[in-house]
Amino acid sequence: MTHLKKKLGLGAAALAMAAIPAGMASASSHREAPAITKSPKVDNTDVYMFRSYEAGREGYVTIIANYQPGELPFAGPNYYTMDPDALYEIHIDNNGDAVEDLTFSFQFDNELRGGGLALNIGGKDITVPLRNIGQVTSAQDPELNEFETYSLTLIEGDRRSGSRSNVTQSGGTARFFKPLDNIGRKSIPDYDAYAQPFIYNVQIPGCSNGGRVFVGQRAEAFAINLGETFDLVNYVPIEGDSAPFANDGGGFPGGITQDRNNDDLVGAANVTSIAMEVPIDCLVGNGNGVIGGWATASLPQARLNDPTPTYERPTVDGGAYVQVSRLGMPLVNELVIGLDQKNLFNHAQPTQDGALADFVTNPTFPAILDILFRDAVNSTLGTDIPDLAPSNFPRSDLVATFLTGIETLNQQQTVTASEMIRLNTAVDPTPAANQSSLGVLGDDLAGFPNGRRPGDDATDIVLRVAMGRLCYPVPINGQDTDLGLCDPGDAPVGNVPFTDGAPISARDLSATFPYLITPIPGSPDEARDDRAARPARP
Amino acid sequence: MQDDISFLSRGRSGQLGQRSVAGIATVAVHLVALLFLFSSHIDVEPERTVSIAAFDVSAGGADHAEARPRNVEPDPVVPTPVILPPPPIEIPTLNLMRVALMDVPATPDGGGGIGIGTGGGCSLTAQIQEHLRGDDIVMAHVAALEQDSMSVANVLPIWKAGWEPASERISEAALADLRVAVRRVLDASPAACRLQQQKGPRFVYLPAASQTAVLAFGSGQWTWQDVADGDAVPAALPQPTIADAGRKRIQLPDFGATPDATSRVASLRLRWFGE
Repeated sequence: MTHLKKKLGLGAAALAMAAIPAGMASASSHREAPAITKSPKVDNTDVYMFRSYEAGREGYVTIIANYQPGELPFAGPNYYTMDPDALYEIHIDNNGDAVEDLTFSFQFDNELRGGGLALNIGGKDITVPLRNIGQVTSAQDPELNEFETYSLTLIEGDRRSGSRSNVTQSGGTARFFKPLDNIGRKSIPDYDAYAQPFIYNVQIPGCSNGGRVFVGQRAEAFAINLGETFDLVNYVPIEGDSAPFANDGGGFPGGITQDRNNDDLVGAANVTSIAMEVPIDCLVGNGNGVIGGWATASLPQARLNDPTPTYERPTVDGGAYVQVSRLGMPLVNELVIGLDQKNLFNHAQPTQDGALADFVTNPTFPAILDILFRDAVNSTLGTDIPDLAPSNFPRSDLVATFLTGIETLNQQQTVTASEMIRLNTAVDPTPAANQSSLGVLGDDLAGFPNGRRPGDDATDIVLRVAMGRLCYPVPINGQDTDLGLCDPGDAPVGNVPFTDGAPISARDLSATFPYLITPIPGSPDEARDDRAARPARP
Repeated sequence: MQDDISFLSRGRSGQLGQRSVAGIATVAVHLVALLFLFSSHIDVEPERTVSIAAFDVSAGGADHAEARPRNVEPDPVVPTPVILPPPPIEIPTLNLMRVALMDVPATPDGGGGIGIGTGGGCSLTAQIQEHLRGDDIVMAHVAALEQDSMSVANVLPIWKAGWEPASERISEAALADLRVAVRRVLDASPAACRLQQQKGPRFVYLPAASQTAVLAFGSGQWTWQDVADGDAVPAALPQPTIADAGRKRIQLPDFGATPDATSRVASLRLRWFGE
């Protein structure tokens, strides 16, 4: 790490950026660390946590943890089941000690119907190679060759040694079904109708009110100009219109404008979502109402490849569970943590984040943008800015955003600096129609970084915050308000509308649980094309 | 073979002669077969195994044996390293984990209450919130508030370098009752707590009916003493304790009072750097 600091230069920056995995599946935290690229089924891509804004559900918090980046809609015959050897977990810290107080633990199982559906071929029963052999309309449809189920366990205290109890359906059943991925319209003509019954009302131990759970494929909602961003930001990352979607070219000369075509994920890929809706009272414990959340995936310590694998047991797994993926705030492991430490971050607990604090207090990404764009900005604007990157070290604004929360907005009563999403459950949710995709920066205190909603444009927000936006006053009910974290003089371009040109808003998504929309069908091609062409809704 | 023939020729006549003919015929057939087998391979060259890399689709129909390997990737270009001096980095003397709390004394919190983070050991923000929630008059005003269509988060600025005036959302009577309630808490608090430096706004959350009103106090650097003083100008505050040495100050260009209205670049400069 020391030698990297001393080699801040175009060469080092180019190498650093080039070493970041590029391609469709690399975004909020998609394939963001070298080791996790080997295990896509347990790759945690995004975490959302927000007060439910579905009408009548304001007393709940929705938590969504997405896995398996860059799901191609047409990726048959197996599509995207979850790993039955893994633990997928959502953790809640409600007292600010950076240790989980509650964990919702999901375990999956795949099963062949009767050992596998077979056809009688020439007098012999031969098993079929497909997951379905006809149209599918329900969880246990007879045309289904394979179905996927899961169990949900609530753990209070330490995730491995705490007290465990089953979350059950309203009728008491502890087994839940995961819907088949959206293979296509011939297999599943009406996917919305098919998937709706997989939203379960559940009883959560210790909660007076029930909640809801859904696990299944959804359309990707993380908006990012992926390929260009990791190609050394191969665009001018400043709004080119006078305002987003103004289509007037009145912004920064040559600046990128908002267009769905700039997005490499939304409209192009799916993802597997674990979505929960939990009563607020069940989450806040004895804290001040601000909760911290993050998601993980863990695998058994040892895996032996079986030279004679069966469907049920392709490998032999054993040993203690090892955390292999972790995500709270978006883009941390993507753009903040150094390449040499990305694997470590995925394995670290929030209590260990102190070892990686330098990446937040002394971030490299603003310096990289400075190297890439300083000359262009100065020549375009006729300025003589010696350094575009903020100079307030340590970056207390980034510490507040990513590690502690902002005081009285989303900071817990006792603060242990650690990376997680922090949500103040006292802030009322904003209806979908009124949400600002810029969250707090857009005069919407119910948005990112106070929690994170699917319609918050996390990429644009993080870009601006990284370049010092919080050093400038933010609007609170229309009034410019100084957050007191740093000064405008610390961030020469902090008030510049940085953007990657890939928009997202709550209007692009659903206003009801699970909020992420129907996955893109694998067939026919026209259906996929229609989704790709669907324009952004500002 | 010669021995076979001579043996046959020395054989007894008749039966032996028939045997000789059969034997010769058999040998002849075998010889012909062998010759045929050999001849079928003599004139044809063995097929060569062609590497995928040797397959040149652009040559179309060219003899594979003569196809040249194609360059599938250009030689990598080593980037010219540009070594820039590292910017001066301030090494904080405090534990990095307390960076956000460095102006907050480490005293036990008096109880934050729902929605309040640490406001420091004095927790005046929490105390004010608690008091307002218990004030029936104040809460009646809060319940009567209409949701502000301007602010999606329904935040009411109450004090910002001075008490905010009445607006369409909140009447003067309600503000007056709020001021009285806030001052009651401040008057009862230790001076040290009132003088504790606050950075940024402090939010107070008052749940009423179906929504929670959010009141905002302060901006930038201020103290609760400023609030207690009413509309008085906030006292000069000490600079932050982190050393400022080495931090570069940006020299902004002088754009003048009348930028070229037709120049988009000039308007951007004014917007971003002239404010």
